[in-house]
Amino acid sequence: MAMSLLRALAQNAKPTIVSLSTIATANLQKVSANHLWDGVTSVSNAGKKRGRGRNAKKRVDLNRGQRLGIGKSGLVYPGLTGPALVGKEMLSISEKKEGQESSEAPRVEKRTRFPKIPALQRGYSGRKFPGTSIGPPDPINDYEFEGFDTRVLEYKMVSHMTGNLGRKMRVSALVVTGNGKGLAGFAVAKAPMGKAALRKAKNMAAQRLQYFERYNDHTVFHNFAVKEHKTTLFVQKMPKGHGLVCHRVLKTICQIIGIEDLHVKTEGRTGNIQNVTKAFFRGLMEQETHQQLADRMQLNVVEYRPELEWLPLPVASPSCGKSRDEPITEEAFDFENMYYQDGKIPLKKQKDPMSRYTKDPVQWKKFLQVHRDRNQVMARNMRIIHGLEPTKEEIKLRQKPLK
Amino acid sequence: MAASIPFRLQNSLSFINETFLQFVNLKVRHRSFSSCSKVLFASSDVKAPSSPEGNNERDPFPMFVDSRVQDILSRITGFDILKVAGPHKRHLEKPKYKLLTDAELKGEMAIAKERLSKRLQIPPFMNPRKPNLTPLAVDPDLAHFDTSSYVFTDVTFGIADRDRSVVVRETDGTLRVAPWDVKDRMNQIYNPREGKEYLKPQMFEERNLERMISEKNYVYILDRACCQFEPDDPDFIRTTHRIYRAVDEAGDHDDLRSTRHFGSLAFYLTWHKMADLLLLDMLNRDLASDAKDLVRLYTILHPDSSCAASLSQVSSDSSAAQVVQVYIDTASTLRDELQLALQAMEDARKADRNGLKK
Repeated sequence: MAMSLLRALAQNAKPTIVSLSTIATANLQKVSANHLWDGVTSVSNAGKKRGRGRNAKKRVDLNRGQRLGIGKSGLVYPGLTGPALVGKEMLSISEKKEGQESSEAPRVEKRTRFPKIPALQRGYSGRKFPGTSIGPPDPINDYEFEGFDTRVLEYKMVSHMTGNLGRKMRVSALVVTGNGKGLAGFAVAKAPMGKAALRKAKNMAAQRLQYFERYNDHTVFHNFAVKEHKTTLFVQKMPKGHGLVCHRVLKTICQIIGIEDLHVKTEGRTGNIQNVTKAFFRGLMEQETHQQLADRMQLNVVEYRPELEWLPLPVASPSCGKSRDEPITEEAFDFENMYYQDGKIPLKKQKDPMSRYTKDPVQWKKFLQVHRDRNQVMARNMRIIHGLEPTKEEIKLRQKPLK
Repeated sequence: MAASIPFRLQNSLSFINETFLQFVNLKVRHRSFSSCSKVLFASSDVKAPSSPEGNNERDPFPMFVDSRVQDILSRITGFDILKVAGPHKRHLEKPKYKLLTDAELKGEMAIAKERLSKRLQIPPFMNPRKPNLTPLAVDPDLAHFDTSSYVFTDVTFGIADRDRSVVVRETDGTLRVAPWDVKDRMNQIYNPREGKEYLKPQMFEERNLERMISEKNYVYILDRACCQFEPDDPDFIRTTHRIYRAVDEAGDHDDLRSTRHFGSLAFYLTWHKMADLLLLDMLNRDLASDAKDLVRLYTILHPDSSCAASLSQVSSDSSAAQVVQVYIDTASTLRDELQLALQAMEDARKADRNGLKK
């Protein structure tokens, strides 16, 4: 059979191809678009239960954005896209006039499920709330919270069991609000809906504002350690320009309060955000300013700054005008460790700066290479500045083998 | 190699040096000789403002080291301890805190003051050094012994850089004292100093210097020049004098107060008889004793001037206003402005005194 067909084709190849194309078009004319789409997109009921067709193609309206009778050429068809009669005269097909609407309907912007958030407005992680700003608290009567900002620190689902409803879910939000000039407060609030919880917490935080004194508006007055249940914070005063090196929640709180330079070592339960926040606020509140220290000890508090050649500059003197006569004789006395409780001082482990190279032979080899060439970049720059670096042509010449 | 060993003996002893230095010389030969000739040229080319007495011939250094002059210069420099300590750029470090009694604080402050007062040592004011061209020895037999000159350096421990012997055996067999720039470079090789560079930094080139002057980085340029050059280096003199003139023209004298450069500025301006703007600045800032000191400095530096003659008739404990008045009458070129400023200062002082009485 096949052999005879091939032979027929070899003798007269035309008629078979023509008949195939006619069959295809004839079939398309018989079924509707809906029918065709059903064939591509539909899944049986039994299939749906098994989760089929989840990734099937969605129906596309191929006629969207098109209008009958309006095309690119801009012809006017009387009776279809324009009036058929003017008076008693019948119009014929004519050219499009100036100022007529275009053939394409305005394109609708595709709505994405997750619109992109600018990087600076994102929180700590992904599309989650913690770390994001939710604006200043709502005004109370006529008082507007100018210059205030609120940040979410914790946002989580909490539940309890009821006899009637079973597990009842609510949203719990911890937020901190402040003006960046020492004034700040925090609050936890719960509500069935997330937005309500955030609003409630924000406005509650605005009613629990505390004022924190800051040293030169940039850091704390002294090192301190503070503990809340199993969460411990070791806070260290830092010089201007150091920045915030701490738990991300503490960093957010510092930004809201207006502390710029700080180092905090967190120990214990650092994932318990509520305790971390509580501890930090309590620690800041219990600080002693330099003036209070000077008055308590009846001594001058003197600061030695490296950028001022370690010049002794008194930052606070006793209010009575003169200090006590006997100096501090205790040998181990150190301002750095003065405020740790019970004489417990945080352990500072000495780390060998070379350890990252010496442990691994590959790293050690790399170190030796870098160490050998460590001045080469600088030296080359100096040669370029003084015009001693050879030109590109000369370098090429030098690279050629000697003959 | 001891300093006492004659140079000829050193030739044979310091072979290791020779080879190393020859290498150095080969490396920078092309550059060094061109710069050498430039420097030599510059030394005769130092532009000092034209002065009626031809001060270029007089040597200012003996006057500068005179104790009366030094006293006046250090007095008018002032000592604002916060400015001397000044915020300097350095690595971040935690400040230290201490709890001190009043007596302890006073003691600490005194120590810090003594330490910082050393920062205000005034760099010597000298004439440019002259090249020593007389050969030490001429050996025609050694001519064309090599294609490059040999430099011999005395590296004995404990010799000051200025006293170090550096000689050059040139290709024609002549042995002579090394040119100043070669000596400076040899000193930097054997006795490197922090902040000094082997080759002259580009910032001292004319065009870069003018740009930095327009940015008013006076103290930075002057500090860097003190680091890089000897005080009698023609480059040092050219740079510093250019800055002093720029400061004077811009009226930024106060920028240099409480730095080591204010004394040099005052000395330079007085030496060249152009201290009127500085005096005006002092009067405007109500620094009467400084103004008096400046006029005294003028009479010390120019004992033959008419100002000195008329001031010798005024008693030594007369008031600042009287002394300045003599200067205005005899030596000033900005007579009206100075007179006005003096009058204003006097009036303000009187008003203050009256206010205190009431």
